[in-house]
Amino acid sequence: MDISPDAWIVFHIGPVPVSATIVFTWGVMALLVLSALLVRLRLSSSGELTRWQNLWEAVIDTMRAQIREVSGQEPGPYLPFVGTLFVFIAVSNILAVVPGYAAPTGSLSTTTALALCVLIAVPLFGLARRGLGGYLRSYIQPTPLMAPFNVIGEMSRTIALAIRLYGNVMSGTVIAGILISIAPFFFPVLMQLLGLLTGVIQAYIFAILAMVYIASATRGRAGAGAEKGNRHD
Amino acid sequence: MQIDWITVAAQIVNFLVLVWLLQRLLYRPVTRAMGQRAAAIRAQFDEAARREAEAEAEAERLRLARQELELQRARMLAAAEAEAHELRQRLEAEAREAVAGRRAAWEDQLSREQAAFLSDLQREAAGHVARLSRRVLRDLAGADLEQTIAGIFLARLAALEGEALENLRLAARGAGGAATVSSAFDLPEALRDRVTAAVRDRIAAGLPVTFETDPEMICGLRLKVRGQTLQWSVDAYLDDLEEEMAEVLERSGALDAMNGAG
Repeated sequence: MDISPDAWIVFHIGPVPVSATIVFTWGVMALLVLSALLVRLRLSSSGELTRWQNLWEAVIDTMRAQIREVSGQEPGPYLPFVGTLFVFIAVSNILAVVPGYAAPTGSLSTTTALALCVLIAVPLFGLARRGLGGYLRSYIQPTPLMAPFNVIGEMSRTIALAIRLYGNVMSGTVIAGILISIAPFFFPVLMQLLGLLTGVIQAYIFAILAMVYIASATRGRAGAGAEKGNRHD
Repeated sequence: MQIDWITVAAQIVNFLVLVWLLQRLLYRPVTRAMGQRAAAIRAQFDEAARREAEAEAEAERLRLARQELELQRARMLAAAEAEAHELRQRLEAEAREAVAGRRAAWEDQLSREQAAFLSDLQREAAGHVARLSRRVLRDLAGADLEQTIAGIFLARLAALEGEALENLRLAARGAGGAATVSSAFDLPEALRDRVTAAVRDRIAAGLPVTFETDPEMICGLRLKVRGQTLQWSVDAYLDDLEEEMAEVLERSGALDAMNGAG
């Protein structure tokens, strides 16, 4: 049973095979950009809003509040990255109710790519906020002896992040497949509904974890950095 | 169940592109719009607070102005009342004064009328008495009144003595001394001779005596020698009569006044 959309090659661009994962990702991207354009074209800063703007304002406001709550910092610099993680994963998972659609997040390649993005983004945000010295010092906290463990921890949590998302999304598909073979009626529908819930929850967890990692990098594990970060509470 | 690294790379690129696009198209504009709206709402609240403060200040100012106005009105009312009071006092005083003046004028006129009446009465009474006396004297004695008067005058002249006589003689002896006999009517020639003889006999021999009539004299004779005078006339009696009549009038006037006051 092959349930990864990676194996589904839709077409080739030259020698490069384009899998269903990429195609559906583009579809999700197109949807998001289209709705963003709808908002952008009729953007209003007065009291009267379009429905799309209202929806997006609610989503963005909630995301900003969550980022502020988790990081204790102003959400401005983190919103594009963390927000896009949440929105992309959530929309990818919610679209799973559409027949013939395979969630890109059900591909280990996609989740790995997102996890790698987080892996790269965490030190970048740390460097941008604390400078090179400040960021590197966090690896030898509380003693230089801990440096290797800190590096291993950094790696392992990225991998865990990728596996967590992949496992949750894929497991939904796997469970649906198994249940269809056992009980063809009703249960798959319930599982699809459950999939909607877990999909949104996974998007939330992925984004929140990414924010937590970024926050820990920008705040430092202890000392002056923590105070600096907490000042925004 | 494997990782396709080409797909991984493509997904990383896809994700970064999506981040860039959403940042450009969604996050930045929407965040800015929300910020602008929040600022606008805050500005509206500020404006509302400012206007409220302004309105309160205006209300306070109006309240003070109204108080001032009421105070002013009360002041003006009090001033007007005082003025009216003063005016009333003044008018009353003037009216009282006017009434008093009119009363004084009336009383004055009354007294003048009284005097004129008395004078007329005196004249009338004297005329009556004279006429009466003349008729009585004529009827009773059969003699002219003038002669009787002259008789009385001559008797008085003959009875004259002492200082009064001396004064007359002294006046007659002075330079250009002349005697003037005034009467209310022309004396007959015989009576004139008698009077002239009596005067020259009593006062000074050869004294020139002139006769004249004086309508002011009612009834009687008057001898005048340079300021010294001897006379007999009904005037004295008339004066007595006048006094008595005046007394009577006074009494009846006082009675009227009392009745009027009562």
